[in-house]
Amino acid sequence: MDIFLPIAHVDVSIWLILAFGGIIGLLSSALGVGGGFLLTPLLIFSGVPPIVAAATSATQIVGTSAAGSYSHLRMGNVDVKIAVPGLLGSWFGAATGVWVARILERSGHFGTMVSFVYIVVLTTVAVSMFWESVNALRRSRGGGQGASAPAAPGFASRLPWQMDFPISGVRHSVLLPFGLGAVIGLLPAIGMGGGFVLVPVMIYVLKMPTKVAMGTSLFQLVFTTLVVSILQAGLNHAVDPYLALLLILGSIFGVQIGTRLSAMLPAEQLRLLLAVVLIGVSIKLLFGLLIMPHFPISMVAGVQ
Amino acid sequence: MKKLLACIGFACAVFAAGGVYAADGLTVELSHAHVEITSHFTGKKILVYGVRSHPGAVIVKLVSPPEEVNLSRKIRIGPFWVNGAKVAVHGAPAIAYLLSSEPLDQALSPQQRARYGLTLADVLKGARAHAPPGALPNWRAALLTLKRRTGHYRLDGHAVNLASRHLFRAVFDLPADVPIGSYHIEVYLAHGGRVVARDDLRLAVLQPSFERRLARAAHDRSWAFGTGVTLLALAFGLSLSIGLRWFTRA
Repeated sequence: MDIFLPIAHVDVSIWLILAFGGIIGLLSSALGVGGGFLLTPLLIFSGVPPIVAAATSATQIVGTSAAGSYSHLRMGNVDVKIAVPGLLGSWFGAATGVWVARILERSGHFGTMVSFVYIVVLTTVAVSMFWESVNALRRSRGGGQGASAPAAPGFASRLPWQMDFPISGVRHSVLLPFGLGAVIGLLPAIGMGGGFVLVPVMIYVLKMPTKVAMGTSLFQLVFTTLVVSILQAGLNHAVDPYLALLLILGSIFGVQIGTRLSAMLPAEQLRLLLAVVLIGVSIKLLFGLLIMPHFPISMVAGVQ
Repeated sequence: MKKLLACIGFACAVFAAGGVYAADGLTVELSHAHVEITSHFTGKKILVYGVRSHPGAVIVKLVSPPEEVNLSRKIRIGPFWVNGAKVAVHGAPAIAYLLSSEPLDQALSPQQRARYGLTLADVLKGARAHAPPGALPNWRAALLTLKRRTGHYRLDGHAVNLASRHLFRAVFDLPADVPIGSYHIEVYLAHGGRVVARDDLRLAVLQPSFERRLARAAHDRSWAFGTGVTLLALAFGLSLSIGLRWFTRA
């Protein structure tokens, strides 16, 4: 059963989009990530124009992360005080990112840029995730102690405006979450929510407890992707409502499955599986850039 | 099959009326006067059928409204193939079909083909490119090749079926990504290398009011549209999750 997407101007299988949403929801609940980093390339492989894929992924993350952060908020896992400077930073980064996306789209380089950034980010994340889960599995089998989190960078303690964040039990300058938010906030413009970068940064750099990091990251993600989604629709006319709602519908069911699955499967094994999938996606993107094209000229319909 | 029967029925009616075809030379009809692009639209087959008064080749030309298309030459940077400067082409039809009952170079003289614009290159006459100087000077040839590869431009010398001495029919596929608007269909009857009769038709491709309003709002009121869709996504995700939790708990 196919559906015609009025903004993307392509027809896609409803079941395929629901399945994509389901996979993303599953990952989101089992691993605490938004899933945009996998969704954007999957949509591009299905024929959705890159700019619509990136923009609509942001809209989908708004819905899915709102659902996730609501549960975390009820469980007291959201540190709103540290999320506010992080959010302000990420809005700054997001506005810059969407503006850069607009320039790249107009010059015809958006698709290529997305491929390059994805290959670099996905490979880095996949390799580190792979090592982390292999080490964790080895440690759990050997019964050894987990490695301690690396110390926060020394310069961070010398920054002005230090303050206490009681829910996370840490003390930092407000400039630290602002700066980190600004850098990670660049990613939603190309369809990555940034949750998979934000969670480890919160755990290792800001030294927040894992559950609070996951809850706060999702909470922050709602508002970052909210702004990105509005900016992408306003500036680039690239948000497809049918695609977004179908993805959210699939993802909410995926979340339910993911919650049950995560109770059965250890997170390390799920991370290992995700690392393998991400390496596969990177290789496919890399081949697209390395193989000599059949015809030396490419054609893309202009998004109206 | 139903369409073919309708075609035969129509032809019989024309014969019964007597003399119509003899006067006009060519009488043509479409299986659909209009096509609606709903959310379920995944392409459509359109049948062109009719009667001819004289023997000869039948040529059907279909041209859609224009769409904006961006071309770029793939350039090699190190080991990577990336897009070069963008060439934005305006005014090129999204779809152009040139179907005939025998190859066009056999049916018509080059002068006649040029006079009636019966080559694929002719459909790009009104197209204009906005490009940095020196980027892709042969964009017309590149666009023709790419459009023929995707099937959006088609030249087929055996696509019109001459069902009998007078009847003919041709089927063309409208793909899912058709632009909305009025499509021009020109049908020619060629004999002895010359056009001896011609008939013109219009096919309206419409978007029903809801989808049209949606697409127009996304463009004309993009900020309000973006805010609305994003807040809808937020509310949808939140309410689905709360509802599902409530349902599973119950």
